[in-house]
Amino acid sequence: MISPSRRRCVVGLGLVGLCLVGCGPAPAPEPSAAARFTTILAGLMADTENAAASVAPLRGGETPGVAAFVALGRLRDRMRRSGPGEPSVAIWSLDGTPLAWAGSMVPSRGDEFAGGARFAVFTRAGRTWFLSRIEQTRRVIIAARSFGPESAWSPANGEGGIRFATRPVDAPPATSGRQTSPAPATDLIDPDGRRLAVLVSSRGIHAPVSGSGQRHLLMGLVMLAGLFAAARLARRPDGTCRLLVPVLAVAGARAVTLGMGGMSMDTLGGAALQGSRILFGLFRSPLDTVETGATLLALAAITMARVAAEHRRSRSRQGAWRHVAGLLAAGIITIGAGYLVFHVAVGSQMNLLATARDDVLLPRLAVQIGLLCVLWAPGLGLAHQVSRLGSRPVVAATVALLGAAVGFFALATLARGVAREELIEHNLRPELLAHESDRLQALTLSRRQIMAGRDLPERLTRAFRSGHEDDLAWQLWAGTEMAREGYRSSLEVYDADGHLRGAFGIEMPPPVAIDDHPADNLVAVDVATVVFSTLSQEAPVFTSRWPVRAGQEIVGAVALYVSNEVDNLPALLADHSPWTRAVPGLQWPGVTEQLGGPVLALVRDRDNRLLWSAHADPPPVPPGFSAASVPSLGVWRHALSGHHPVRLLYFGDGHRLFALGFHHDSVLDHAGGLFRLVPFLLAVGGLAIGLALLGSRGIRFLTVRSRELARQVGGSFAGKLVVATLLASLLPLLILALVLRGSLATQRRENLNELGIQSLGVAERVVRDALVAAGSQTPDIVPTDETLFWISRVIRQEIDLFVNGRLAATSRRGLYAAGLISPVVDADVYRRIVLEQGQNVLSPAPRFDPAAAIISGRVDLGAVEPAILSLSLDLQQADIDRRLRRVRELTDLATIAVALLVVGAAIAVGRGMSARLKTLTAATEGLAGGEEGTRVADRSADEVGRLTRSFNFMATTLGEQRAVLRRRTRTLEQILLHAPTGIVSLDGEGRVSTANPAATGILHTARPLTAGDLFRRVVAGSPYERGVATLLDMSGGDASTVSDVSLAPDEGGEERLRAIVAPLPVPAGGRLLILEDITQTVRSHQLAAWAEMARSIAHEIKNPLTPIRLSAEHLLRLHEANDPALGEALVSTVKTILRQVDTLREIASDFSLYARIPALVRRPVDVTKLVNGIMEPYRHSPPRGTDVQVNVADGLPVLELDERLVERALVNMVENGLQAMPDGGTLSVTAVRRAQSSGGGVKIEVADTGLGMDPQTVDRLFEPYFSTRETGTGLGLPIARRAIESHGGRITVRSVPGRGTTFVIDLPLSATPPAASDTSLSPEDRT
Amino acid sequence: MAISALLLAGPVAGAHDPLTIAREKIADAFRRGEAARLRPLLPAAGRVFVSIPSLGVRGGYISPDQCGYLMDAALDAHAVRAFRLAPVDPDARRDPDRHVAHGVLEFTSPDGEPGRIEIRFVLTREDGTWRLREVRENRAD
Repeated sequence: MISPSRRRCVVGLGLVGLCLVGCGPAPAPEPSAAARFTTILAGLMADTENAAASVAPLRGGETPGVAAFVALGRLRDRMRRSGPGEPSVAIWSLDGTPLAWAGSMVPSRGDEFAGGARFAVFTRAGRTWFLSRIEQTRRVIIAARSFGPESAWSPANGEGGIRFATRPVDAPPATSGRQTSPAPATDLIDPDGRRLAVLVSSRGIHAPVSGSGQRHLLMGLVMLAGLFAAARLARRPDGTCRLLVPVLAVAGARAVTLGMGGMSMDTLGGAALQGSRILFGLFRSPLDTVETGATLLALAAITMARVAAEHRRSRSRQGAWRHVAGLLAAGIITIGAGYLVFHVAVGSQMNLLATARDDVLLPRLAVQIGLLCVLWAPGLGLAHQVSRLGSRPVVAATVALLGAAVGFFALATLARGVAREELIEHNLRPELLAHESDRLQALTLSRRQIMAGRDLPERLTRAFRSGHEDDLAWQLWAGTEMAREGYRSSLEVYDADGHLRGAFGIEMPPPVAIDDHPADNLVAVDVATVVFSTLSQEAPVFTSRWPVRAGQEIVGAVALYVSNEVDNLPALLADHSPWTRAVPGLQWPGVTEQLGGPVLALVRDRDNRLLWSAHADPPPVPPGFSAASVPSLGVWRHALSGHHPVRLLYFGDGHRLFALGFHHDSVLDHAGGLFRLVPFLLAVGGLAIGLALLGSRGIRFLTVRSRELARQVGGSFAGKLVVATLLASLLPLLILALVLRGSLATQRRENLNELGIQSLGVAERVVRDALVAAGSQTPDIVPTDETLFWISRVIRQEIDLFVNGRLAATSRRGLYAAGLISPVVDADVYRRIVLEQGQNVLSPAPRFDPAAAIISGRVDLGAVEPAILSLSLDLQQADIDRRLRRVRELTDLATIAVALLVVGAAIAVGRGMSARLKTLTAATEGLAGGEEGTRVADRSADEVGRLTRSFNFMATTLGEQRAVLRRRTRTLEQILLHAPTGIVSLDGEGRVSTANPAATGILHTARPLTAGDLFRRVVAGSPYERGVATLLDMSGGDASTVSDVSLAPDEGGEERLRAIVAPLPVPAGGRLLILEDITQTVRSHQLAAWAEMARSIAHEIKNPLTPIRLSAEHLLRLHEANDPALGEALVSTVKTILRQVDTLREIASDFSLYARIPALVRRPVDVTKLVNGIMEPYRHSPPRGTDVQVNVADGLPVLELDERLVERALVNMVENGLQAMPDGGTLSVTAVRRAQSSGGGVKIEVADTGLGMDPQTVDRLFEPYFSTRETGTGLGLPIARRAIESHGGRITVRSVPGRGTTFVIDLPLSATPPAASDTSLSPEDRT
Repeated sequence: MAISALLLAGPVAGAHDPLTIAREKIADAFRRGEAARLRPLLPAAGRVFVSIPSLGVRGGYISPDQCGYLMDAALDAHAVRAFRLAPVDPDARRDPDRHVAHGVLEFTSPDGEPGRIEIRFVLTREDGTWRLREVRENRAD
C-alpha cells in the first residue's frame, strides 16, 4: 500500500513531468504519418477505382446528356456514402475532352495521368485531389475525391520510403486557346521506384498544413488540466507547498525555453501571431499565452487555497484591516491584469472577439483561453475577498470566471477599437496616400527584376519557337513585384517584329494588339502613363516597355502594365480580390481579421464626386469636408452606410478626399458579441474546471458531484421550477430561433436570387447592346473578353459567358488562365439551364470561396445550345449577409434576452416561493423541536399563504393540546409516584423506560428501577425473579396478549403479586408491567373461600345429618314406645343413616381430593390412545338423543402425563357436556397438535351444543363447590383444572348461552407448572 | 540584382538629417544582425507591415512589439554575411513624409545554405520622427 503522502508526492512528480513536457519543444512528427498516408492512399485507390468502375458502360447511341448526369449523380451519391472527402466524377472522351461531370472536380485533358497512370494526386487552389481513371470502350471515367487544407494528411517528403520527384508538367488548358505555363509537379514514388501518383501544384501554390499546432494545443490543454489538478490537490493543507513545485517548474521551464531562444514558426508556438515582449515574452505565442494564463491561474488557486486555509484557522483573529488590505491588493492585481490583457489584445493580430461560431481558429482560441486565465487568476482573489465565497471555492471560481469573461469581452472590445483605428490611421492611411507612387515603384521594380534575368533573350526565343508565349508571359509576370503585391497588372511579350505574341495579367483589360505600327512596340519606354479604353471605359495605366536584345539583335520586347485606378489597392482590398480568394495559400496582408470585416474605402475628387467606393452604399461626405479642407493626418467621423454605422477616417491630399474605415459595432453588435463570447468563454472555462476536477478527483468524483447537484436541484422547489421553466421556455425559443434561421437562409437566397436576376437582366441587355454597338447584327458572334471586362466595370460584377458548356469569354481571364477556375460551367448549372430549359440558377462558386454566390442565366446567342451568363454576386452577397447577420444578431439577442428573462423570472419566483416554503419548513421543524410559539407571518392569499395560516392554526391547536397533555402527564406522574401499584414500562429490548417507586418496593429489587436498566438484570435477586422472567417470556411471544397472573415468591411464602403485562402501542415495541401486591387480597379471598367452603361443607353436611337425626329420633321414639314396628323401622332407618353417612364420606373424600395437591405420577402417554380410550364407551353407547363425535388427529405427540388425573379431568368435561344436553345434542371431542410457536403439545377441545352459560357463571365455574346442578358437589371442574395445571397446561372455557360450551385443554410438550397461578383467560376466552 | 545597380550610386542625402540617421540605424541593425537596434525606429502606435518569407517571417500587419520579436528571431536564426542599403533615390522621394529604402541582405540560413534577398523598408515621418512602417522582402532573382 502506498501511503497518502507518498501518493501525493508521486502525483506531484507526475505533474512536474507533465508541465515540463508541456513546456518543452514540440514533439517530433509521428513516424506513423507515412504509414497513415499510405493507408489512406490505398483506401482512396480502392474506393475511387470501385466508384469509377461502377459506372455502366456507355450504350450505343448514348450521348453525354441527361442520362450521363443521372448516372453521375448516382455515382456521386455512392461515393459520398463511401468515405471522406468531396466526391466528384467526370466522363471524358478517349481523346481527353470532358463530356460530363458532377461535383467540383476540374475537368481537364487528363495531363495528371501522365504515362498512362491509373491514379493521380495533385493540389490545386488549396485543395488536394485524388483521381482514379478507368477506361471504357468509348470513354474514360474519372472518379475523384478532394480534400481541403484541413485534411492535413500529406506526408513530408521521404517519409515511409515515399519520395517525391519534381518535374514540369502541363497544366490544364484554357478554352480560349491560350496555353498556360508549366506548373511544378511531383511524382509520388514508392520505395520500389514505382510511380504511384503525380502531385501537381497549381502554379506552385500550396498551403501546407502542419499538425504541430494541434499537438501544441493538446499539450497546452493537458497542462492546463494538470495545473488545475495541482491547484485542486493543493487545497489539502499538507500538499500545498509540495505542489507549488510543479508550478515553479513550469515557470522555470518556460524561462529556460525562452532563454535558449527556442522559437518555432508554427502557428501556435511561434511568435507570428502574438510576439509580445510583455513579462519577458510570456505572451510571445498563442501557446505561451495559454501556458502563462494557466500558470497564473494555478498560482492564484493555490494561493487562494492557502489564504482560505489560514483564514479558517485564524478566523477569530481576522481583522477588518486585513480584509480591506486583501481587497485592495486583489483589486490592484486585477487592474494590472486587465491592463496586461488590454495591451496584449491591442498587439494581437487576431480578432479576439470572434468565437467558434464565426470561425474555428486554434491560435485565437488559445489566446482567448490564455488571456481569460490571466483575468481569471486575480478574479479568484477578488471573489475571495469581496464576499465569503472563499469558503465555497467552486462558487468563487465560477463567479470569478464570469467576471473574467465579461471583463475579457470589455477589454478585447476596447483593444479592438484602438487597434483598428491605429491600423487605419498609421498604416493604411499612408499607404493610400502613397498608392500611386507605390504602384509606380512596383512597376519599376518589376521591370528591373525582369531585366535582371540574363537568360531572358533565350527564353523569349525558345517560347516563340515552341509557341508557349503565354506560358512565358505567366512565368515572367508571376515573378514580378506587381504580382507578389497583388496589383492588377499584366505583361505582354512581343516578337522581333513587334507583334504581340503572348500576354498574361490579372484583372486587366484584355490586350489589344495594334499591328498598324508594330515597330513602335519595340521602342523602349521607361515609365509612361497611358489610358486603356475599353468601349466607353477609360483606365489609366502605368506602363514600361523595353526591347530584349541578344547581343545587338532585338529578339523581342516585354511590356508591363499596372492599373493606376484608385481601387488598385491590393494591400487594402486584398480580401475583395477573387485572386486572393482563389489562392488561399498566398500571404496577402489582408486586414479583415484585424478589422473584423472588410476595409471600407472611399475616394472622391476635388468636387466630392465619388470616384470609387468599396461600399455597396457609400455614406455622404460630412459637411465642410473636401480634399482641400481635410488634413492628410485625417479626421475620424461616425457615419451611416445604408443603415449600418461605420467609422471612417477622412483625409485628403489636396486633390482627392479619401476615407478609410470599418463597420462600427453598434450597441446591438456589442450585446450580440457579449452574449456570444461570454457563454463561449464560460464553456471553455467550465471545460477547464471539469478537466481539472477530472484530473484531480477522477470521474467518480464528478459522477458523485453531478448526482449531488441533480439531487440538490431535484430536491429544491426553486431548482425544479427553474429547470422546468427553462425547458418549457428554451425549447420553443430554440425551435423558434432555428425556424427563424432557416427563414433567414431562405430570405438570403431569395434576396440574392432577386438581385442576381436583376443584375443578370442588365448584363444580358448590355451584352446584346454591346454586340449591336460592335456592329454585329448576327447573334452568332460571341462577345469578347474585352466586352465582358467593360460590362463588369459597368455593373461592378465579374461576368463569365459559357457556350456549349465551356468558357467563351470572361472579365477575369487571368484567373481562368491560371487554372484557378474551371473553364467549364458547373455541371448542375448546365443541367438545369441547358438540359432542363431553366432560366437561371443561383449556386455557390464552384472553385473558391464557397460563400460567394454566382447566378447563372441563359442568353440566346443563336448557337445550337443557349449560352450561359454567370455573374458573381460578391458585393450584393456581402451586403445581404451583413443585413441578415444583423437580423440574426437581433434574433439571437432576443432569444437570449427572453431566455434570461424567463430564467430570471423563474429564479425570482422560485426563490420567493422557496424562501416562503423554507420559512415554513423551518417553523415546522421548530415546532417539532418544541418551539410552541413558532408562527409564520404570511398574509398572501395564495396556496402558500393558506398553507401558512393552516400551519399557524395547527401550531395553536397543537400548543393547546400539548398544554393539556402536560397537565395530564403531571397528574399521571403524581399518580404513579404515589400509587401503591408498581408500574414499569419496558422498551422493545426489555429496558426500563419508566418505573415508579412502588415497583421497586413491590419487587424488592436491590436498587431502584431507573430508566435504561435492563429489567431482567435489575430484578435479578428479587424474590420474584423467576416468576417475572417466566411472565415476560410468556408474554413475549404474543405482543398483543394481556397477561394477568398471580405470582408467588420463588422460594415460597405467603406473599402474592398480581402481575399484568400489556403491550405498549409504540413502534419499537414495548410492554407495560403492572405489579400489585395482592397478598392481603389473596388472604382475604382465601378466608372468604374457606368461609364459603365451610358454609358449603356445613350445608352439605347438614343435609345428610338431618335424615340421620330424623332417623335416630324415629328409632328413639319407637324404642321408647316399644313400638313393635321398631325392628322393621330399625332396618330401614339404619339403611337411611348408613346412606347418609356414605354421602358424608363422599363429601369428605371429594374435599380431601380437592384440597390435596396430588403427587403426579408421570409416564409417557399416547394422547391419541388416551382420548380414544376414554371416548370409546361414549361413542358406542351414547345417551339417547346425543351424538358423540371424536376427532383425534394422527401423530399426536407422546406426553409425560399422570394418565389417571388427565383421564379424570377429561371425563369430567365429557360428563359436564352430556349433562348440559338433557334434550340431546352433539358432543364433539377434538385433539390436535399445538403449534410449535406456542410451545408444542396437544390441544383437546370438548364442545357441546347444550344450554351454555352466561359470563357470570363462566367466571365462577372453577370456584370450589360452585355448581349449577342440584346433585353436584361443585368440585369436579376445580379438581380438573388443578390436574391440568399441575401438568403445566391450562383449561379455558368459551360458552354462549343457548348455543353450547367448549372446554379447551392445552397440554404442553414439557410441562412445568407455575409456582402459583390463578387462571389465564383472554377476554375472548371469557366469553 | 536590380537594387545592386542602385547600390553602385553614391549617397545623395548628405548631412546627418533624421532620415539619414534612421537609415543608418536600419543598416547598422542588419549588418550586426541585431534587430534590437531597430527598436528606436519602431512606432509607438499602429502596426508595421513585415514580410520576409526567406527569413521565415510571414507577411502581415503586426504590432511594433511583435515586429521586434520576429526580427530578432529571424536575424538570430540567419547569420548575416553582408547588408547594403541603397542610396536615396531622388525620384522616389515624391512624398516628403515617406521614404522607401532598398537593401540587399546576404545571409547564411540555419542549414548552412547561403541566401540573398532584397528588402524594402518604408519609413514615414510621424511627429517629426521617422518610423519604420514596412519591412518587405523583394524577390532577388
